[in-house]
Amino acid sequence: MAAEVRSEDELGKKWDRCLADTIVKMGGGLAVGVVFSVFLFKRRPWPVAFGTGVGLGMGYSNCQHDFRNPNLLHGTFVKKIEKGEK
Amino acid sequence: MWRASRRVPSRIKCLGQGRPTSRAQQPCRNYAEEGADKSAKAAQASSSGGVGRTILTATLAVGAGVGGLTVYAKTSPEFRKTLEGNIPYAREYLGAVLDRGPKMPDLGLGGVVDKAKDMVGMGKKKEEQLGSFLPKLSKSKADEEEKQRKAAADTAAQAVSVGTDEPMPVAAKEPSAAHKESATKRPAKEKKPVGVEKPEETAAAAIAASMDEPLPPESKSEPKAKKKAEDKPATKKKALKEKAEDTAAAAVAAGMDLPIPAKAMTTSGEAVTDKHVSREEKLVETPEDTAAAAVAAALDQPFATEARETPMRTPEEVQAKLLEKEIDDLADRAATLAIIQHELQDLKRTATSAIHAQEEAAHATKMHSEQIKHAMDEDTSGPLGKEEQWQAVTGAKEAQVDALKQAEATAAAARENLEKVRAVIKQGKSSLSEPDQEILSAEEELGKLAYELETAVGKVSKAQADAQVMQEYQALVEQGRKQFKKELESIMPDVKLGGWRGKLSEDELNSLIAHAHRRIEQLQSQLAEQQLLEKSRMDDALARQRTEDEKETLALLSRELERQKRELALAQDLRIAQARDQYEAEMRTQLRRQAGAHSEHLQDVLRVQEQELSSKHQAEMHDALMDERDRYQVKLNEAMARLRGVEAAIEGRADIEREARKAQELLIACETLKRLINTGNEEAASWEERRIPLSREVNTVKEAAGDSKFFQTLLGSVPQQAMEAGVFPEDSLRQRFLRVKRVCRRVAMIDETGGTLFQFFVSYLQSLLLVDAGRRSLPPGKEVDPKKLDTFTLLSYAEHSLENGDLEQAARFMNQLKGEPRKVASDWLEEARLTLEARQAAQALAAAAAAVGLGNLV
Repeated sequence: MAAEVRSEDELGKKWDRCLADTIVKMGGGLAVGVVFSVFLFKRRPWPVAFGTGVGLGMGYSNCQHDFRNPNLLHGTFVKKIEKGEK
Repeated sequence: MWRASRRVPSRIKCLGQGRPTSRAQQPCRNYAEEGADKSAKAAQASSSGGVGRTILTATLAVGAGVGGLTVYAKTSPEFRKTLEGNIPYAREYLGAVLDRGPKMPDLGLGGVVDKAKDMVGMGKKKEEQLGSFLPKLSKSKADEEEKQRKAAADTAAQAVSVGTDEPMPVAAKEPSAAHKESATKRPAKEKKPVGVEKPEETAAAAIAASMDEPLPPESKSEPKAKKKAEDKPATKKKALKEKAEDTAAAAVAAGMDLPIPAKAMTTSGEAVTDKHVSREEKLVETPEDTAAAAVAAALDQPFATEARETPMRTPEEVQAKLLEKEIDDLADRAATLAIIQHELQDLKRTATSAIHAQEEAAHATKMHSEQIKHAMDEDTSGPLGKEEQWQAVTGAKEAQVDALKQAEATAAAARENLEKVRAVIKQGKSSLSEPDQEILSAEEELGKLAYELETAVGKVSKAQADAQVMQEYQALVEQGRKQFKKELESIMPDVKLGGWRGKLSEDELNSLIAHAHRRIEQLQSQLAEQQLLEKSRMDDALARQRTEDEKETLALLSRELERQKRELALAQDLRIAQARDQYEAEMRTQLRRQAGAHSEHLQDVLRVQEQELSSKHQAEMHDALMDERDRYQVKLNEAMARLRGVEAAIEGRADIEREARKAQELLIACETLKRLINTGNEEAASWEERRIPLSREVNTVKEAAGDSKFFQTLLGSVPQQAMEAGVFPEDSLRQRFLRVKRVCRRVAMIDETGGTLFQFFVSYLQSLLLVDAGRRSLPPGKEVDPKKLDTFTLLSYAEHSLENGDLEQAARFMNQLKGEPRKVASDWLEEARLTLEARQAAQALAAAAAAVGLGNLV
C-alpha cells in the first residue's frame, strides 16, 4: 500500500503531479514538433513551438480537470502478489 | 588516481590540438596540463614504489605502535588495564603474549602412575607376607625336627653314658655330632643307625669284657640293654617318622586314598617270615606315602590353630580331622612296625648265631667229656695213645672254653636283642591305640626265638652238667690215682708210677704185691661195704637223679607252659586286637556321625538364635524408630503451626503490600501514558516521527488495573488508532499546524467542489496579499459568530489558542473550516482529535489511579 498522504500535502502532491505531467507533455510536444519540423517542415521552428504549446495546453487542461474534481481518485496499477510472496 | 583528462577544448587555440587549420597558431604550452602532468607523474612515480613504501611504512608504524604498547603494558599493569578496557581483544592478546603461553592440561596421568606404584607395592607386600608365612611353616617344622633330633641325641647320650665308660660318650657324641652336622634328614637317618649300631658294638664289647662272671653281668647288662633298647627304638622310631614325613613333605595328603593302602597293608596277611622282607620293603615305601598325612598333620598344625579360631566346625572339617588322626596313627604304626621288623631281623640273626654257638658249645662240651671218658678209659685200642688222648682232652677243653665263650657272648647279645625287641614291642603296644597283628606276629616270633635260645642254652647247660659229672668222675679217678700214688709212694717212695723205667727189684715187687694185696683186701672190704651201701647209695643217686630230672622237667615244663601261655596270650591279643579294630572302626564312624550331628545341631541352634536375636533387634529398632518419629512429628507439628502463623501474617501483609504495589503500578502506568501522550517519542528527529504507539502503555495500564470495570471502560475509550499508530504530542501538532495554516491560507478561496487553476492562482495571490497580522486572540467572554468566521480568522484564532496550549479550542476553531481548507486540515484535525481523546482518557485514568492509590495508602 502506498504511504499515507497527509491532507495538507495532498494539494502539494497534486501540484507536483500536475507540473510533472505538463512538463512531460510539453516535452512530448516538443519532440513531436522537432520531428515534424525536421522531417516534414524543413527545419522550420514553428512545429516545435506548436508542439510545445500543445503539450502545455494538454497539461494545463489536465491540471484543471484534476483540481476541479478533487474527489476523483487516481488509480494505480498494483502488482499481482502471488500466494507464496507476502 | 585520476589523470588529467585531455579534453578537446571548445576553441582550438594552439598548435598540436585538434585538427590542423590554416590559422596561425601558437604551439601549445599546456601549462595547466604540464602541471597536471607533473603532479600526475609525481603521483605515478610515488605510486609505483610509493604503494609499497606506503604499505611498508604503515605496517612498520603499526607494528612499532603495537610493540611499544605491549612493552609498556608489561611494565605497567595500570596501563595494561586501561588498554584492556578500551581496546577490544586486547586482553586475549596481552594474555597470550605476556603470560608465557598456555599451560599444559593435566591429563591425570600422574595419578595413574601413583596408583600403579601403589599396586606394585601392595603386591610386593603380599608376596612378602606369603613368603614370610612359608618360611614360618618350614621353620616350625625345622624347629620340631631340631628339637626331636636334640632329644634323641640327648637320650642316646644319656642312655649310653649311664651304662659304661668313656668310649661310649665319645661314640654317642659322634652320632649327636652327626645329627647336628647333617643338613638334610636322610643322611642324618643313615648316620643315626650307624651311630646306634656303634653303641651297640661297644656295649657288646663291654659286655664281653665283663664276661668273666657270665651270669651277673648279663643280668646287669640286661637292664642296661633294656634301657638302651628302649631308648634306641624311640630314637629309631622318631628317625623313621621324620624320614617318612620329610620324604612325603613334597606330596600333600591325598585324603581318602591313603588309609586304604595302609589298611590293606595291615590286613594283607599273617606274620609270615617270608613276607616280612617284602613287607618291610613295602613298609619302607608306604610310610613315605601314608605319612603324607602325618606331614599334613604336622604342616596343618599352624593351620589347625588358625582354624580353631573359626566359630564352628563343619562336619566335613571334623571328618577331615578324624581322617588326619587316623592317618597319623597309621603312620605311627607303620613306623613302629618298621622298627620292630628291623629289630626282629637283627634278633633273628643274633639268635640264630647264638643258637649255633650254643650248639657248638654243647657239642664241644660233649666232645670234651667224651674225650675225657675216652682218656679215662684204659682202652688204648683207639687210634690215639694215652698221651695223645690227654692232649686231645686238653684241646677239647680249650675248644670247649672257646665255644662256651662264644656261646656266652652270642647268648648275651641275643638276649640283649631280645630284650630290645621286647621293649620295642612293648613300647609299640603302649604307644599305639590298638595292637596290630603285625606286632602280635612279631611277638610270636620273639617268643619262638626266645624259646629256641633258651632250649639251646638249656642244652649247653645240660652238656655242661654232663661234663660236670664227667669232671667229677675224672676228679674221683684222679683222686683215687693220687691216693694210690701216695700209698705207693709211702710204701715205695722211690717208685714213680709214671716212670716205668728199668726194672723193679724183687723187694720192690714184693712190697708192691703186698701193698697191692693189702690194697685188694682193703678194696674188697670197701667193696663189700660199698655193696652194702650200694642200695642206699643207689637210692641216693636215684633220688638225686630224680630231683635233677624233676628240676629239668620242671624247667622244661615251665618253658613249655610259658610257651603255651605266650601262645595263648598272643591268640588272645590277636583276638583282642581284632575286636578292638572292629570296635574302633565302629566307634569312629559313630563319632563321626555324632560330630556331624553335633555340628548340624550347632548350626541349627545358631540359626534359631540368630533369628531370635534379629527379631528382637528389629522390634527394638522399630520401637525406637517409632518413638523418634513421634517426637519428630510433634516437633514438626509445632514448627508447622508456627510457620503457618507466620505465613498467614506475611500473606496478610503481602496482600496489603500487593494492593499498594498494584495501585502504584497503576498510577505509574497511567502517568506514563499521560506523559507519553504529552511528549511522544523524544528521540525522534522531527515532529513527524514523534508518534509512538500507545498500545504498550495501555496494556500495562490494563494489566495494572486488573479486573476493575471502571478502568476497563476508561481504557476502552482510548481510540484504536491511537493504540496502533500513536498520537502526536501537542508540540508536533503545533509545528504541523504551521504548514497546515500556510496551505489553508493558499487555498482559502476554493470550496469543496474544487476549482480551476485560475481560482487556485487567485487564491494564492490573495494569501500573499493578505497580511498575517499575527495571532489574534479571542476577546474574553465574547461569543463568536460562526458566520463571520472565515478561514483566515479561524486560522489565526486556532494558532493563537495553540500558542496558548489549548489544543481543544484550536481543534474547535479548525473544525469550523469549510471547503478546501477543511479538506487540507482534515488530517490535522483528526490527529488533534485523537490526541485529545487519548489525553482525556489518560487524564481520567491517572486521576482514578491516584484515587485508588491514595485509598490504599492507608
